[in-house]
Amino acid sequence: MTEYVVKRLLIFIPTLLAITFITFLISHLAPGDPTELKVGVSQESMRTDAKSNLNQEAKNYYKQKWGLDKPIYTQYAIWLWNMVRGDFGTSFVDNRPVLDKIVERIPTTLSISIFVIFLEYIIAIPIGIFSAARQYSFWDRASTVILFVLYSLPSFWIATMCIVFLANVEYLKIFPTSGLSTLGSETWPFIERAWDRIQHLILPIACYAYASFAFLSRQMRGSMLEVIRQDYIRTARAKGLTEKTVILKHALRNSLIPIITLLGTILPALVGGSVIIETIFSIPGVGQLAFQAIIARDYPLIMAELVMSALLTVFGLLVVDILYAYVDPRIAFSKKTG
Amino acid sequence: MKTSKLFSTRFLFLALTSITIVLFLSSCGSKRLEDSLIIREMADAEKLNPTVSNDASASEIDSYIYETLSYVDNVTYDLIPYVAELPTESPNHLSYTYNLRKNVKFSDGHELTGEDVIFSLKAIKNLYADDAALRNYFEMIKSAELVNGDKYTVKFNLTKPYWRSMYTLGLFAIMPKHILDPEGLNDKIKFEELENYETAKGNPNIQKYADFLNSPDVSRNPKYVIGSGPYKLQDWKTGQEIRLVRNDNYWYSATIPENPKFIIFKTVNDNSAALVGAKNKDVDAMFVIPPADFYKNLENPDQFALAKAKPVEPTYSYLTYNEKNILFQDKKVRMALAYLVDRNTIIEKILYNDATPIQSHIFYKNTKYLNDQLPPIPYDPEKAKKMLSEAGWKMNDQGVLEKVIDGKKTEFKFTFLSNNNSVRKQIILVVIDAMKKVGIQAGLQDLEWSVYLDKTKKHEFDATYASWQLSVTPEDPYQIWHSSQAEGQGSNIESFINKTSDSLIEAYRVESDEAKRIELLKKWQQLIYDEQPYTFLWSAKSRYIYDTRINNVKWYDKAPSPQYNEWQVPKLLGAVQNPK
Repeated sequence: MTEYVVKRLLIFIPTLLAITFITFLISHLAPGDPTELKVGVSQESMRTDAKSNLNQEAKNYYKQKWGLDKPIYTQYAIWLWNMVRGDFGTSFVDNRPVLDKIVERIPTTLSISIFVIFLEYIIAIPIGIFSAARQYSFWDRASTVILFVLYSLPSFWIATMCIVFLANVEYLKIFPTSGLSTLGSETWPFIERAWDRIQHLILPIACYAYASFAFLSRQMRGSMLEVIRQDYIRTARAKGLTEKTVILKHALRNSLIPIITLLGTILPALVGGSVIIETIFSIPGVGQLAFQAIIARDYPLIMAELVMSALLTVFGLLVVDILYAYVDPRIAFSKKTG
Repeated sequence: MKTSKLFSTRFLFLALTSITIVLFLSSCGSKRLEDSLIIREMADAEKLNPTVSNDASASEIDSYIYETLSYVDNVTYDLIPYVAELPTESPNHLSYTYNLRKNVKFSDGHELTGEDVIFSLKAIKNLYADDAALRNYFEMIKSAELVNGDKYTVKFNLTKPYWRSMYTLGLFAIMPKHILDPEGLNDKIKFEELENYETAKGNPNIQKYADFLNSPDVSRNPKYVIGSGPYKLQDWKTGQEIRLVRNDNYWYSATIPENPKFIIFKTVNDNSAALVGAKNKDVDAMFVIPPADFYKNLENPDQFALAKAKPVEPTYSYLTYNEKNILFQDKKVRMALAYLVDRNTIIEKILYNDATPIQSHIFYKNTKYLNDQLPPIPYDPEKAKKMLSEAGWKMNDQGVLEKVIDGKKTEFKFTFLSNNNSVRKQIILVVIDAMKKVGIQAGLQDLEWSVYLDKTKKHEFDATYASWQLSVTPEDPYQIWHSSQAEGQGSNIESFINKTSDSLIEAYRVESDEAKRIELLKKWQQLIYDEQPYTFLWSAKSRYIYDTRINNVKWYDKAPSPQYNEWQVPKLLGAVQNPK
């Protein structure tokens, strides 16, 4: 077991190197120049004596300061060395340490993602079980159709529709329009403040979660169907156990194994956030920050976000592998004789 | 059977709970803050220090916190006294002397003096500070000093005469020295050392001070964001809101007695969500970006107690053709292309009739400087065809115009570059369609903004649609039109090179007599009209909406149009008490 974990962790190193090197190349070689955005005339406005080369000198100064004048592999080596020491650099845009910028936004994104994942599982898994237990019934087909329709509706559209129809005095004003809290709510008593925050989060969470319902419930249905056909289920039924016990006790546990695999992708999603949902609902989360970083060619910030999600993906996969061993003793990590 | 019962009761339970939740939620009324004005911003500001900030949100917000020596009159566009009297100019036009008012105080009660003005100029001219874009304007400003040690008299020295310096000097934000440079690092920096990177190397204080000025705290912490203006920064929640509170010590407060206690800039990224927010009264005023939101999705503003306003801000749109491309080197061709743009129909169908066709680079409301003798160019494909054939273009078998240029058969084919903007795209498509009818084949390529900027600056394009945001102060065409700006990455992206234009611009820049200056600028406008490096399109109106409960709402034809500190917010029944 320990040996396996160590081995896996060692394999991470080349994986991570490859991921960061490729993303470093892509982000730095993509068209667009951060020094131009810094020095350039931001609002297409006027200069006095553009004849001089002060502008070019200022650009060179930033190139030098940010190390962009060096060959790309040297830049990567420097970045890597700093990263290993835990220094992700400062943002080109406002000179704040990129870690501060990300950490400041993680609680917001995390609080949404936790709910989203919880909601996805709490709804999708029962639907999957139900569909499998009553295969080809009316409800099975209906839920399949509904979930696939939901799955194919783009979330930016659903989110906009939700705002226009559910958060609008013109139609129904059930939810707040956008943001995280009502202006001036900081002086309210705690209960009211919490309630205000919950109201603000309902629509984003719903819009974020619905698309995964179809995917997850189909996974659940598939693995459940496979289990139901097994001999031991037939035995259980023959014993005269109720259908409820058979499905929820004997079949469910075994059919959950494939669902665990999906947990691996959750970890990065937890702190990754969603660009679309965060932008439409004006939620200052990590996804929005990543998007702004790309627009501004803020290389240190782009790289920090990428490293974070790469690390979490790799780590998530490891956790999944370990969980497997506990759920299913047949899966072994080391070669055992016999 | 038992399972189905199990699930159906669960579902029933779920359904009932959700209905209860919905009903409970809807019972909560919206709560509104008392005595505050909430303005929508599309993006959060990046930094609030007026010297190092470089984004549109910040410069709007800073205009309430910081003040300048002079002010541009909202109606006449003339410079008027503000923190200082209007300057006196030396006979050789090489220096300007300002007499400061003696009662101006920063919001912390500290007096504003010439020391602060000189310090602010040094900070702007600091080569390591993150203000490269702003610093460009100050290249001709050599130094500043107190006259005879009088802290209320500041003299600025120029490297060469340039009448527009009055605007540069009059309009930069004055920062408090006692807060932003308590150690007096700038006293150890001489103006000569700030001339270029070579001279700056000699004095380590320059880098040291820039590091402080660039540090995030200086741009975010209310402790450092202090000016002499009518409002001060109270709170900044990243990505959510920036809250300004009225400066009750404001030196000029007698004139604005009823201004709102709070001006809150609320970030709402999404345009449709912002419009819904205005309907819901989450936002009191906003600039509406998509025209459809303004005209279609808010057809009846009264229903939501909203009102619309359409001031004209100094901005215009144009089409331009890269003269490095052999297709566009003939001015007859450029003129013919101008006749192919149906400006009136586009304004009517795409811009909802809210734009004014223009013929010149100068803001059309600035009647003093505008050459109004330039006749509008109508949509006339026949005339365009004739002009093109006079220029040697003949239709070939495929219905495409063709001409032998430099011994090579050339077809009239090119691509418009655009920047992922749906309105721009629609307009370009209309133009492309009109061109097709006379045998010109044009395509369209959409690019992300920074890539678009990169391509146009490097002259790697055939034709493009773009806009200029101008100021209402007298224009200097140098940056956009002088041939020197066609080299490297200047703003003369279309590579318009014309000796007469250059000499007119150069003469205009050094002419100290305003009447003569206007004469030169009008002549220059005629020349540009004849040469048609741009097809000047229109100045579109700005689209604002605001809450009707607000009094004293005023709109000016300048940018930004509203000055929210003039607006008055009546007391609101049932409003929530403000913090503090």
